[in-house]
Amino acid sequence: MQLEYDIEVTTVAPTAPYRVGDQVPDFTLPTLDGGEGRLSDYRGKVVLLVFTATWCPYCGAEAPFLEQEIWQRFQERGVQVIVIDVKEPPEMMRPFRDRYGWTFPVWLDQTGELGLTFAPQKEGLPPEVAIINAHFILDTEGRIRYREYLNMERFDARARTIAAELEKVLVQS
Amino acid sequence: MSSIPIDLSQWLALRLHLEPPHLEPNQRGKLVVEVDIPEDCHIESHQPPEPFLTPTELSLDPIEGVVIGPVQYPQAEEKRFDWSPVVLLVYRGTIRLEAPIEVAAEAVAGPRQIRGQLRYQGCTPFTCLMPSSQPVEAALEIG
Repeated sequence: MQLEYDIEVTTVAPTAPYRVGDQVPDFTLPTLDGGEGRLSDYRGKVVLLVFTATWCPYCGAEAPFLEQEIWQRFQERGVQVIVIDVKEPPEMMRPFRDRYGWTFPVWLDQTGELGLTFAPQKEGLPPEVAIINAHFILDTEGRIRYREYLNMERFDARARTIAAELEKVLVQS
Repeated sequence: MSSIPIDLSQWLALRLHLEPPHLEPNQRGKLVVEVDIPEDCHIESHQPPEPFLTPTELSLDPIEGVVIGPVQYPQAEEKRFDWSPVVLLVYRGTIRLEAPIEVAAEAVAGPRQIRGQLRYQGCTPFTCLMPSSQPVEAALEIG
């Protein structure tokens, strides 16, 4: 499925992104299913936030691992996976979610404003690009315990890294 | 990495020309679009192997009295990336797209402007860029 949709690049530079140890302020976003997602509703759980976009080749490569290697393995241990789709209309994300059989919540950052607060300052890249495929693990109090921006590692290896980081946070929580 | 923000509207260098440069009514020619992709970078091919990858598409606006297309795309190159479970089909270097043009017998002589856009999604060695479009424009003289 291809919808033609050009993403408007923001001219706003990202602020210094959240670091490990920072408390993430509460936020709400519309969900792909038409509701509203609120981060603080998941206090008490370890949260994996993943920023994604359907156009991103890495995100498609990672998508099956997120469901099978992370969500299916960790959801009963108090982990919540939340994917945040950056600057895309829901009709683009819906078939993507369905193709990869995602059963965790997908939230929509259609303006890109939330992504801007998490985006790294990468020279030469607009924040809409720099934030894509970033991962943040939040502990039960909403503090960042792990963050990782895009890398070129194979996603099976990367899923193991994220799983190992989740294990660490679960032990500490 | 460059300190200058990547300008996606200029990321690809496009060179257009008509073969032949002038067409008579009832004559055929073609629009040639040569695309220079930055070194070490690639764009998805016209027929990517995964449904959510953005195909390279040259779309051209209709012109009265002129039939344009279908666009012919070059053969894609198979490229394996460590992160991808599938072999990707990409374009690298300089590629050439061609759009056949046929001027109708009853077409009125005079200048025309061929307009359209090239849509693509590219990757650098460091990251992938969001889908973008660059305008395509060429002058066609009939008669």
